[in-house]
Amino acid sequence: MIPIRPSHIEDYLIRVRTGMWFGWSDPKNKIYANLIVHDGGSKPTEKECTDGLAALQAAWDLENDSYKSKRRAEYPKFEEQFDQIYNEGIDAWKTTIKAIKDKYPKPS
Amino acid sequence: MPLTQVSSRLIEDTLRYVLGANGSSDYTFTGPGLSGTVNDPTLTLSRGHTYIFENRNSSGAHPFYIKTSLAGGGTNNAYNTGVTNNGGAGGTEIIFTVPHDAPNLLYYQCSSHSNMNGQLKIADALVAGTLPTGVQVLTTNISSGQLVTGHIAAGTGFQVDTNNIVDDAVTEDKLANSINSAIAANTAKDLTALSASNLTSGTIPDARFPATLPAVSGANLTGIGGGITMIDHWRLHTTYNVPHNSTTIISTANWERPDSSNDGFAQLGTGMSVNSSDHAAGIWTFPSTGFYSVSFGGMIQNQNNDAYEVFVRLEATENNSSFGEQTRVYLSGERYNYQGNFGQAIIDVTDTSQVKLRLRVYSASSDTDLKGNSGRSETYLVIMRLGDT
Repeated sequence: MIPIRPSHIEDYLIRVRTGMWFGWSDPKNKIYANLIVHDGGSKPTEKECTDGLAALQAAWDLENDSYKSKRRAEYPKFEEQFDQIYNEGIDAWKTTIKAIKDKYPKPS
Repeated sequence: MPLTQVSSRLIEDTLRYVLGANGSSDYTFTGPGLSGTVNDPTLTLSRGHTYIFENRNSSGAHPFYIKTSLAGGGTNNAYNTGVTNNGGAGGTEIIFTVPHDAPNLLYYQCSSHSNMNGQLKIADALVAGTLPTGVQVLTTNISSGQLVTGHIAAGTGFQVDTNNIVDDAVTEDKLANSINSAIAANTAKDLTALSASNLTSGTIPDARFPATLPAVSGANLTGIGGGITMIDHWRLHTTYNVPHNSTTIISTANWERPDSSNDGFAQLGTGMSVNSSDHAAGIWTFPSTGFYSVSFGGMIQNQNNDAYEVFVRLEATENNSSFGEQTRVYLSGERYNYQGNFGQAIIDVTDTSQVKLRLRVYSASSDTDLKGNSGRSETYLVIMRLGDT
C-alpha cells in the first residue's frame, strides 16, 4: 500500500488526540471555519492546524520521498543480500549496495 | 201468490231491469248500473248470470227480443238460448240466463219498432278461483286478509315484485329444502361469477381462507402492504484516532446519511435516530417495534505502526441500560494498509424506548484510525426493518 501524503487539516486533527473529539458542521465542506469540537476540549487555532499539517507533510516527505526511502525501495531483499554475501563474498555485496547509494546520494 | 220460499242465491245472482218506452223510438231502462231511466242503454251481461227484463209496455206494443243481429228487424235473428219469453211484453218478464258459450255481442230490439234497440255486451263471468285474462284488480281494493293462499293461482304465471318483499320477510325456513341444501353445499351460486363489488369488507371471514392458497401470478400481487417499511443507512463522515487498549463507544456525532449525487441511496420510512444532546453515549434508537436487520462495517488504517488490530462490536440493550455484545468483527493489517470488515445482527425491537443499540471499538495499537468519509461509506450502519415483532 502506498502511503498517502497528508493533504488536509483533518489529517492533522486526527493526530492531535484520540477519540471522536472533533467534527464538521458541514461534512461536505471541511474547512477550518466549519470545525467543531465535540468533547469540550480546546479547539486548535487555524494556524496550529496549518502548521500541524505542514509538519506532517514534511515528515511524510522525509519518510517517503527522501534519498532514504528511494534507497530502501531499491535495496535487494535481505535473503538476496545474504545469498550474495555467501556466494560472492562481502566485496561483491558492497558493490551492489554502493551502486544504489551512489544513485541516491545523501544531500550535503 | 204467497211467498213461501226465496232462494238467497237467486236474489244474489239475478239482476232485474224494468222497461218502458220513449214513444216508439227508444226503450227506457231502469235498473242496476244505470243512473235513473236511460234510453236504449248498452248493457254488459256476464256469462252464467241471469237477468230479468220486465217489459211494462202494453201488450203487443213493444215486444222485447234478444237477437244476434238487428238486421231485418221484426223477429229476425232472435237469440233464444237461455232466454225465456223472448219477445214478451205487457208486463211479462223476459228472463235471460247467459250461456257460457254466448257470443260476445247480442242485441235487443222491439219487433214492432226497429229503432228501439241496443247492445248487450257479453263478458266472462267471475268464477271462484279464476280471473279472466286482462282483468286487473287494484290492490287498494283488496282488503286486509282477503287474499289468502287459495287465491294465488298455481303455475308459473304468478310473480311477486321483489320490491314488494320487505327486508327479512323471507326466512330460511320458507326456502325449499333443496335451496338450503344447495347453499350448505356451496353450489347455489357460481362463485367464479361473483362481482368483486359484492365482496364487501368482512364478507369472507378469515376462517374461510384455505390453509394453502391457490397459486397467484406475481404480476397480480400489487399494492401489498406489510412488507419492508423501513430502510436506513448511516456512515461515519470523519476519520478519528481510536483510543488504544480500551473499548470505547463510537460516538454518534459524526454520522450522516449518504447524500452524494448518484449514490442511489433513498431512505424508506422513518429512520433511526440519535440523541443530539448526548452523542457520546453512542445510542441509536429504532423508529418502531419490529424485527430489524442491522449491518455494520468498519474500515481502519494505521500509518505509524505495523501489525495493528482492531475490533468493532455491535451491542444491544433490552432495558435502555445494560448493553450486551451482539456481533464482533476484527480488522487487522500492516502499516499503511486499509482494512475493512463487516458484521450483521438481527434485533427484535419489542419496545423502542428499551431496545436500542450502540457500537464500540477497541484498538490494540496506537494511531489506528477508524475511517470516515463524507463521499462514500467506509464505516457504516445499514438498518432494515424485516417485519413485525
